[in-house]
Amino acid sequence: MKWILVAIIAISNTVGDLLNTAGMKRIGVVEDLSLGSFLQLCSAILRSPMVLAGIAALAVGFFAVMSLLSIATVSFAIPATASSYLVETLLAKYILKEDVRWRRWAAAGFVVFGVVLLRS
Amino acid sequence: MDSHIRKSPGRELLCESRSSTSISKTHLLTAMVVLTNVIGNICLSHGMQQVGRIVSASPVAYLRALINPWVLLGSCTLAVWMLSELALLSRADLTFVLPVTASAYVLTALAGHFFLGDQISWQRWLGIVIISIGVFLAEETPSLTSLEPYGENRQ
Repeated sequence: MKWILVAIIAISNTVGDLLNTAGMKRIGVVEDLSLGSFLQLCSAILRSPMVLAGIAALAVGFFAVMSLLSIATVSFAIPATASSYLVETLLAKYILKEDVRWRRWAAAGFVVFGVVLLRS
Repeated sequence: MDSHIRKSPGRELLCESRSSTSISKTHLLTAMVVLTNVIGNICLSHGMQQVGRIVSASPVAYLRALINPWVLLGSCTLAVWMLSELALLSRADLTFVLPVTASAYVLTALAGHFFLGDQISWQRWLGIVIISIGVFLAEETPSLTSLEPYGENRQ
């Protein structure tokens, strides 16, 4: 059951992050960190099917994390959310056309390896 | 109306993302994402330990968990996290945001140790160090590289 939840978390995080990144790049740049800016962000999100779908995917992941937290320790559950980093890096390079060079690959690799150690 | 969201990022954001000397809005937003993530997860985890086991496909069971104040506080904090994460993604690459915000794992582990009494073995300390190296490596890269991939779809 634990590992089924981990799989659900990984897939929904990947789909959610990709949709949110693509959607937010289309919405535009959030200029400042004021309350007005966040309210405007909320209204822009409500008009963006891509970001709404991304949030829905992350919500599925969120409920899976909550389930996992209720049957496993926090140090098992939270690292499970990093399990998708390498796949997300690959997809960001080819789908989102981000400039992924060795530093970013190394960064993603170090994070995943560190997270595995954190779980032990 | 005074607009807080600009349709096209413009060159200065790319320039900002390449200068690591000053603390930029992108860095402030990153700090906000990390802090709300850590506080949200700690509160939620603490609350879920009190609520007990929930494995259900029905949202009702989760909604009932919101009666617990820690679960409610954690969920509200995570809602703020979601908004700041989206704001950050509007300014930076996903492959920058993912490793940099992974510092949340380090802070969550440390907070779990100091506030919830979780044990930290030497492997976990090593994990904390290795994640921090990953965060540092990503932090060294320009935060935004994909300026115009969706140009044709821009509203």
